[in-house]
Amino acid sequence: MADNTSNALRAASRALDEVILDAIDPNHPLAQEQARLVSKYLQLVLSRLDYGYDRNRFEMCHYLNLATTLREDAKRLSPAIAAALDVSVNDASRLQNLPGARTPDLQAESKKLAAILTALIRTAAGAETVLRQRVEYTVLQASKALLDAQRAWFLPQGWEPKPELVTSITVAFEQENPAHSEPGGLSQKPT
Amino acid sequence: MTTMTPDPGLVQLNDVFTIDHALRDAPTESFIEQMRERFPTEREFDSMLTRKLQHRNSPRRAATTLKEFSVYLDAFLRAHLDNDFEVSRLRWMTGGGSKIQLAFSLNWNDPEHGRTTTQMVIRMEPQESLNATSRMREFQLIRAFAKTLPVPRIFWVDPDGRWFPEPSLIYAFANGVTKPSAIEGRVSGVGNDFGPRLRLLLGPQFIEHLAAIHSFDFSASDLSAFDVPKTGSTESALWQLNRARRIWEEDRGEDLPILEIASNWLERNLPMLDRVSVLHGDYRAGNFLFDEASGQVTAWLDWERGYLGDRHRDLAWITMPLFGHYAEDRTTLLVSGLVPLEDFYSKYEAASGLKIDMKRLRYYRILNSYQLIASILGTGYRVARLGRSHQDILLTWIEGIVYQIAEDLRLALLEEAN
Repeated sequence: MADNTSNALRAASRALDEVILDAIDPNHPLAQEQARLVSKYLQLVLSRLDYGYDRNRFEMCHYLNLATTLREDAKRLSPAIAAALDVSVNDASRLQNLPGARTPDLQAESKKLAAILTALIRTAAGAETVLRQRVEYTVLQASKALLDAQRAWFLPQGWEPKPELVTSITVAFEQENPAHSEPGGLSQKPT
Repeated sequence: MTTMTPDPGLVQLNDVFTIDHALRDAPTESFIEQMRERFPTEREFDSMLTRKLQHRNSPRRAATTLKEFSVYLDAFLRAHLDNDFEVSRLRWMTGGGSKIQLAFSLNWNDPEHGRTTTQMVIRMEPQESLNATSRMREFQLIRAFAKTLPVPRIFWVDPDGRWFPEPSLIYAFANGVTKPSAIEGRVSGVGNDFGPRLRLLLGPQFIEHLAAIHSFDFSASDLSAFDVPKTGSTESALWQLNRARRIWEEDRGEDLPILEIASNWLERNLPMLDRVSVLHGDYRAGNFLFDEASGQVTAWLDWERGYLGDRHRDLAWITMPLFGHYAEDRTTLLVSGLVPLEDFYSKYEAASGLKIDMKRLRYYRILNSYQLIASILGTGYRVARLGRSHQDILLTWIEGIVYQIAEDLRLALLEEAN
């Protein structure tokens, strides 16, 4: 049983470009613009089809690593957030070690971790300066990997002023992979 | 007896888990009131954002057809003109992601020119827009600048959607193009390359027109839909920050920790306002028309984000790398594809007589990044999810812009932290 999704997406995009666009009323520029965008979106999906699972796994690992790094600071900021973080870190770790973890599960865990981290950062806004600065610095440092990966994902859209500087999609999702990470996890700003 | 210190994280934790998709998709009155209280802002912003959430509970409406528009337009014109008029060539236009635009020809008794045929444009809010902005404010700004800048002649406004399905305004069709005909346009004109000849012709006008907007004396203009912030206070910056924070809280479909860091920083560093200027709000390539042969700007459009406040907000917006591109040397950033960045600042100061404060510029650069991300990743996501605009596919497409903006934001915040 072959997976012919790529073939079908390529055919769908070609249908738009070679048949449908020509048939759209030239006095309807909105319809023309949207048909072109649909075609481009299909091409984007086609070029990223093989990386979708890696992307979802990467995102969860990213938030898991960040949450793990911030666990101690969470205890100083809020017992409730620390407890929520503990539960979520355990759940995400289990998922991380589960070969073939399903995409919706990875997405749900990412969402939960990102929400708790949001609560943590909002709480840190009212904390003493050194603690707040350490939390914020840790998040800023860690976010680079996430943003690099997203920029790699959307690179074919053509927004980047210097595309040659953007990480390749073939390595973008390796950064948070436990097999590639440095011992000791994320760095923190010295206190 | 010891007293327990309340856990400050409980409220935050409760917020991030109770304000969920279900509540954002169908906001309750108490949620709307909570948003209004948490994020106080200008009256008209508040009114537009409140209206947006209230309308979100109404059923999704199918796209309005040209035939239906024709009926709305006819009723509107009958209410505003004598019956001696004729509408022809009603047609769709493109142009941006936030408003529905149609063009038409009106044969009528123009009070200024007598019997004539005028080419006009209807600009209407979709059922829900990427930017919940005020047609009345746009109407007032275009009217205020009629004698100062090339702007379309403005005719009517339907501020509450009494005649059209949503708030609308009607102005004259302006001739011109947003990009050279030889290049393929980018979405919304972002990053268009004008080429060396047009840069020389359009660049000076780009600066002079901006200077004219920021130094404009609005005391004699009817800008009743605008609040005037106090100088010597942080009120102006706070209104803008709260507006952006409110849309992120009302609309987002995900959490993005870096955006929370930005929000904290922006609140801690609110700058004072030294002078109240009119701001265009979206001054960049793609939002002006020009005559390709002469290189003259024929109209400044899209005033929907205009407000009264700190000119540095406009300046920070205009100089975002996203809205420009690099020159042939690959190192010189051309502001809006027109003016080298360094020249831009000095020429603006000379043309306007207003100083640029680099510290405030940095503040508004961070605020603009925050607002763009909140708008695209928050509102754009929500509107497309609910199928509420005529440009849902475009709103999803522009997600790709967000992450380079977020990386610029990250670097700026790190610089401020060090």
